[in-house]
Amino acid sequence: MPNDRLSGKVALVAASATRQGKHPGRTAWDLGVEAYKLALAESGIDRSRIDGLLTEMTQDGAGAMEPTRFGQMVGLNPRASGSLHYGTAAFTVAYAAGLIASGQASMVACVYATNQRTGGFRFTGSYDPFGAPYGFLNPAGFAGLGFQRYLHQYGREADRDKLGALALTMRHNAALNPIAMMREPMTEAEYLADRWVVWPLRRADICLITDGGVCLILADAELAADLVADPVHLLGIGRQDALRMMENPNHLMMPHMRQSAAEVYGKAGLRPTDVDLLYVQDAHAPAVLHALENYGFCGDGEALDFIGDGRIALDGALPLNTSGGQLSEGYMVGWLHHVELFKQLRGQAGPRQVPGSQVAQFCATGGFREFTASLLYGTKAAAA
Amino acid sequence: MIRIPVPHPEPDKYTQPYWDGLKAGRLLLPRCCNCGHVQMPMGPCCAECLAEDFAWEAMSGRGTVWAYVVYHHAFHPAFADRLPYNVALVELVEGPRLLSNVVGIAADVVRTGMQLQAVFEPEGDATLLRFRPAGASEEKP
Repeated sequence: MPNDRLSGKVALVAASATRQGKHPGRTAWDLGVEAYKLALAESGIDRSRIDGLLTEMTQDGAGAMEPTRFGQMVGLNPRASGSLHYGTAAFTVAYAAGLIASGQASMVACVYATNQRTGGFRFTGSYDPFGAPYGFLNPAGFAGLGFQRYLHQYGREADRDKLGALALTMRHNAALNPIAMMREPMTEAEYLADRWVVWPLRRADICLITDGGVCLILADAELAADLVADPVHLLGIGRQDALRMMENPNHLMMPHMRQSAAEVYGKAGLRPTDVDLLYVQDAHAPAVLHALENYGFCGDGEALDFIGDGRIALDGALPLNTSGGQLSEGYMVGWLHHVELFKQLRGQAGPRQVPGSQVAQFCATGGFREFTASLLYGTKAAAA
Repeated sequence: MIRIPVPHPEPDKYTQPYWDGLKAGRLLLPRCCNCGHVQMPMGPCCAECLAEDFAWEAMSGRGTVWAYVVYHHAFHPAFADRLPYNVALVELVEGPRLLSNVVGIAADVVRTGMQLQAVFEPEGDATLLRFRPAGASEEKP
């Protein structure tokens, strides 16, 4: 039984995305507005109902997705507006949920869009003065360090290539997803021949850089029930950040996820075995290993086996990133995962539909592993 | 052709003594005068106790590889002719961890737990802190 103040109060009422991939000549603003209009059209929600606006600042050719400008563009004077510089969806949703639960807004549109694929943005990552001079560039460097440490810590160096199971599963899921960028099948042999980018990571282990936009609309649950059929209920949020980063004893393994796990499961009154669908912010494949272990889906050092035995496939016991994730669908920092879980929990995921899904979990892995958050979502039955 | 410079250190009020130390061939880090914590990255106060007085202390330059990667792709054109190159997270015997390159060996010969010794390498206007395997010759191959 849910036991926190949020449960039953906030629901996802719309989650829409543009096609992912290349959108030459279109700005992030174009794509954000397209996603916003799609969310209104697909949900049937009248735009006069929107009284909150949150954007995620993006790194792209059009500059930051600044909320005032977006409000001007779509003719919106919300009660509350704001932005986060790095949302990975969970943080923006948590912000929206707080506005709604505290009565500052009743229906919040959250928008993320980018044209970083065609807009000329080079994803070098931040110029850490203690890293960049040594060539430590791009978040893949951080992810690679973490994966190497993982393989060493658990004595799994010989099993490095088992990581490929994730890329292959994601490609299979994306083939069933019309908005995904990478829909061509990939074989194991192709994976093993794929180039190293930052050893121990191959290109296929790293997210795509895509153009696209997403809009999520969250609402007060009572209002949601009046306006849309089958809203998806937020059952709980857990968060734990680790801002001291490398001063923390084992930051690379993201042990702080365990606090997010205890909080989110405790608040929702659920356990990992209750989760039907798992969504992990997969900027890099190893993030999934850390999430599976720290959230309690498998034991420490076991996730390489867990992803390889079919359990995470669409017909497995724990379907994961069912739309292809960021390795094959598109890199929208966790926002597309929300579009997908919204479809799945409403039975609208077409050929990817996992029958009977009631509970979905999203796990954010943000930035340089200094932020974690997890959200549990459920159907009306799961929220009751 | 436009030449994009190698990303270079930009010393600020918190890090100037560190970069000056490297130029002089010394690895200096700030030790908190109140609690003894060696603060890395540097800032206005000790992250352990918030005291503001530091003594810049010479470290031994000895450390071990905590984790490492090998870059096969240049995310900045300045690194294209260095490929492949390693980046290691080095744990100093005094505690702090920092990023660097392990030099004097092939890029992929680095190993977790490898014992290291600091070397100071001038590069552009700055001197960078790199490491070589402990006991190895100072001469680079």
